[in-house]
Amino acid sequence: MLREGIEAIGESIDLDGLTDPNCTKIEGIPNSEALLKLANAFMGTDADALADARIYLAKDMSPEAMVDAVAVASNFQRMVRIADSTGIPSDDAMLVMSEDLCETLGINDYVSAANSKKLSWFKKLILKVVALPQVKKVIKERTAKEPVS
Amino acid sequence: MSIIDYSDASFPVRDNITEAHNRYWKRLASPGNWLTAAERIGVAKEIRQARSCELCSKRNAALSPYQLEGQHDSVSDLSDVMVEVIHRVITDSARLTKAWFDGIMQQDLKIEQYIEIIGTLVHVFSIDEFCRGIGEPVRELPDPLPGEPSHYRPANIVEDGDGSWVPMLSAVMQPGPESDIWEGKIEGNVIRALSLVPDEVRSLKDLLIVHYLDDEEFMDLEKSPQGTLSRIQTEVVAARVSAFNGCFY
Repeated sequence: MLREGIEAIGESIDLDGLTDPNCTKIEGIPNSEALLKLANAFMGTDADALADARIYLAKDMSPEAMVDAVAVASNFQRMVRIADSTGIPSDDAMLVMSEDLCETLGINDYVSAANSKKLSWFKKLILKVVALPQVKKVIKERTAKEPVS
Repeated sequence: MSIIDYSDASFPVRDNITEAHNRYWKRLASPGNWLTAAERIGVAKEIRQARSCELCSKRNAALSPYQLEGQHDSVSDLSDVMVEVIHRVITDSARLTKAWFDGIMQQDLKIEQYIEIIGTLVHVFSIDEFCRGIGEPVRELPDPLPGEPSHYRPANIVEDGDGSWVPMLSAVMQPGPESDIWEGKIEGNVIRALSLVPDEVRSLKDLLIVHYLDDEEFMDLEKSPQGTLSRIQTEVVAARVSAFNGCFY
């Protein structure tokens, strides 16, 4: 969704570092350094590092933005456990949309990737030709309905 | 009834977060569909225990968690199989396999109870993690209310789960008592996953709106979900946390 969001607003940003904990900043995304610092510290075990990251993000953006970033992080502690414990496959359209990105970022190596069966060439073709343009159209339409502030 | 109050927190917490957390705490204290309130509170206690469990710690460090047998450090009256589910999902969910799930289902646990345990677990854990993230202690658990589970099971369940391990409601919602959960669109698997116990999806969505975004806004990539982070900034945090968790989905 991140990549689609970036494309929808006409930007081009290199996302290769997204899954690499050593990547500390993503050029073109405002405040990414502070956001990634918080996400890394949140997923670590060093309470002092988390405290530092909180203050850093609160100063870099705002205390409210820091709380919202934590809300997002804690939400994804939930979503991953739902997916892992119920063995859900990735939704077909998302699977096709993220195919190349999963390969590039090494996401196909995750244990939970086994829950998503490879799509047949025919189903993939149908999704690429029919469903994906529709999904992208919806994203563009919804994205275009409000001016960028 | 213990109330969640963030008014004395070091950082400003939106009122709708506090309200949603309190709605969930109230539900946690009540009998569910397949678990009593005491069992639901037991799930919450085990969540908090799991990270200091010696067996979980050893399994986490092992090349394969399936090589190590043993007893979890439990703090509740829940059965061993329930405790295994809670501790494993909290501490090592990325390495769960279908074989592990099948082994759990061969023990004395109904699939409906499993789903309610997972629902309770993920909701409580996300609230606990929110507290940890903003530097606050976890909130006191409520006292369980008396009463029996309703044993409600929805109709229109896809028993084979459309390729997942668990039965769930059809992606296209049929008219009926569950039509408030999602209607007029094809729902994603991560929302459908808990739908064998529809109240777990209702709680999921209630918390999702304040922690992340309204499911209805998912395709709107321009809107800032809560007004502080842009959607792209939101997804940066989501993606990095998911990567740490080894989440393919």
